[in-house]
Amino acid sequence: MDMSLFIPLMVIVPLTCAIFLNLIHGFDKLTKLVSVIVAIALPIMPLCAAYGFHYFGGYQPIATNNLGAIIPNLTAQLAAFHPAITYAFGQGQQVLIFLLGIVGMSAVFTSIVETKKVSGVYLYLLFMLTAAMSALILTDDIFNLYVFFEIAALVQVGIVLVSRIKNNYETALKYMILGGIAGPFLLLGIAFLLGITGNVNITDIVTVLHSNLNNMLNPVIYLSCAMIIFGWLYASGLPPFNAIKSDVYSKGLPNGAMLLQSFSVVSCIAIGMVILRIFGILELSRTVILAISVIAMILGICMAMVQTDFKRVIAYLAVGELGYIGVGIGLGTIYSLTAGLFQAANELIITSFLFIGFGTILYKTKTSDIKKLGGLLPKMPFAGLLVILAGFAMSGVPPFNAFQSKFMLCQAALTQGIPELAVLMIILSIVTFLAFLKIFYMVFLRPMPDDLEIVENKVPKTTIGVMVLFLIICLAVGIAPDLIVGRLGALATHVLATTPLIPFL
Amino acid sequence: MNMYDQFVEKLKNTFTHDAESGIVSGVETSSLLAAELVLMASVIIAAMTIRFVSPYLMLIVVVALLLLFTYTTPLMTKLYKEHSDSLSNMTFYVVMTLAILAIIFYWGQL
Amino acid sequence: MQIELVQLGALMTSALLMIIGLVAVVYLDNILKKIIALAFLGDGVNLLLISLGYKAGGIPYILLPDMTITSFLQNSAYPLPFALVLTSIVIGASTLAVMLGLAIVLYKRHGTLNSSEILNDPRVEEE
Repeated sequence: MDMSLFIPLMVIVPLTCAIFLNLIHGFDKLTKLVSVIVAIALPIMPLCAAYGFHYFGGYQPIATNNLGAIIPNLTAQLAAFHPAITYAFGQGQQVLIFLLGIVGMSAVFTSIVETKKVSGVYLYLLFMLTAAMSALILTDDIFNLYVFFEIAALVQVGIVLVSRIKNNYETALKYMILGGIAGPFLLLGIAFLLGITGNVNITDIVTVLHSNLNNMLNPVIYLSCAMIIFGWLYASGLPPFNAIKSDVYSKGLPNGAMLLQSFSVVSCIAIGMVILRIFGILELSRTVILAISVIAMILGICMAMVQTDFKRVIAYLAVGELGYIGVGIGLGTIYSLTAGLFQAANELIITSFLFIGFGTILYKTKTSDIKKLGGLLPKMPFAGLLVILAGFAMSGVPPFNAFQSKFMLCQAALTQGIPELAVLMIILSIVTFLAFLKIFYMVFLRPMPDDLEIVENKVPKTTIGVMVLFLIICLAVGIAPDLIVGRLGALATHVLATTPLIPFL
Repeated sequence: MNMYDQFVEKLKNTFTHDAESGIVSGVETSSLLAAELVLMASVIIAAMTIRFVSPYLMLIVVVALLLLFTYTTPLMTKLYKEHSDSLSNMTFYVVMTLAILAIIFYWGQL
Repeated sequence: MQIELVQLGALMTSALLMIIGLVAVVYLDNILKKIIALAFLGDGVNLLLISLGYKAGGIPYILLPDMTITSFLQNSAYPLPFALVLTSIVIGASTLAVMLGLAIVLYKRHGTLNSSEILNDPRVEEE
């Protein structure tokens, strides 16, 4: 059996399952069975797939088949162009989709056990978002990226709407209005690239632009870069979109918020890598990405210190951690991009761990205001232990995984000759720890307020099991980072194939 | 009133509904103070990267930031108010960012 | 590269549509008007995208039996933008539908369509 068949299946299987679950909503047992089977398949598929390319419709580049004979005036460069939507699957994509599959599987399992009646519609939303994220990582076609990004935006709105938290409809409309501003400008950037190069395949765009260096100084290319960076800001939730993104995370159920945050991380690296591949030779683009990432780190972590809702604290901390990923992308070397991708992979696991951990508190007390909580450690000691370990993991405490990625990022900043970035990253990691300890104290350690009532007595074993799985992954990657760094390095090397540099000044 | 009491007064105005009878707990005050110091330190360290453009400009900007922080503390209350969820606020910053990006990239190619 | 007058007109119109959309979504208070303004913004970008594929005197991109490949390749219009625009229009329509649905629900809840009353800071509402 041709194992490269699994490459498109990584998107098609969750997509089809989502539509099917929507149709069988109401049949509880069948919904649970189908969703559990496909959820288990999500992390297994990338391990089975063979590395390579998948060309939709079977339309391979002309150089690899014998259609070239009937087309006149065909040069070698034209023959290498990709006529179809191409999905590229390598070692780096395998790691990222595997971790995504773990997160998706955990979201589906916790959603099934924590709600009394299984909702096919909610599971449809979760699977659709997982499919969109896999497509964003695999695709080599910039318009396909845009389509899945818009699908994901609609699905995110759906996840916010089903949570029945106060003011969720208002948040959803605000998110759609801001997305309605940012989405068309991303499409505008893609339109400019199409106009200049005549292609939407990213490899072909890079070939065309980098072969004639005079073309890169075209103002249309600079404007296209600006528009795509603007769309990247919206997709990742970097400033100025961090306020609405953290609002969206706080209005979703914990398992939904997990996937929402994972989408932000995945789109940050997917669109970030596209920007690096196409516009990386313009130093101005990397400087702008660095500047925005530094602002994101500072804003995110400072605002996290002053929030009173623990979901918002984690949401702002997550935005701050996205800034670290942006620094890795903005520094523009193979080592820094590897570090950024490693930080992203760790973020996927750690933020999901935190959302599920604090979700257990929400499950037990039905409130997320830290002023009303307190004294929960005797009631849920094991969950409390897992939550503090998750906090240690996020702050970059060894032996967890974020320590390795933040260490690599600091090294990358120092190698590039920007020690200020390394100092900033270390200070902000310390403040992340501080913010986390504050909410841990307010929720678990201080005396319980008199009016707090514990609604549910026991946290479901599946939820605890999922948290232990995340902890094991954090420890394993922290102790042996070479498990995934080498593979991500292969992806980084492919993204940053040597090209000449155009300096800013 | 000493500086700490003035600071707590400003916090009460921002974070509680009724400034006279509202209470800001010790945890909140200390975390706000920590956030304030981190914000100032981070912005000044980030401003030091201007040395790649010109060392004299970096000196001017850092001194200006130090003076600004001395006279406009507490900054976190202002930042918290600006970071609100209202659509008009967010749309303003979105459109400003779009304009700034377009201008930077327009001048970057000259 | 020569630019056709039709293309120039289309590009200016799309710029005008985008500017009107952006200004209207910022300045207008009514939620329905904001949603319509976002539709303008999307339509402007779609118009720009389709105008990239214009070819003066071009034929549709369908190879009929009585054409030679050389004349077909020289005379046909560029097909890629129209495929992209079709997808983009569908995405715009579904986004519009969801936003209008949300506007209906919010009107039923608040009794008004003023965004300054509905979409303001909920921290103020908690008083």
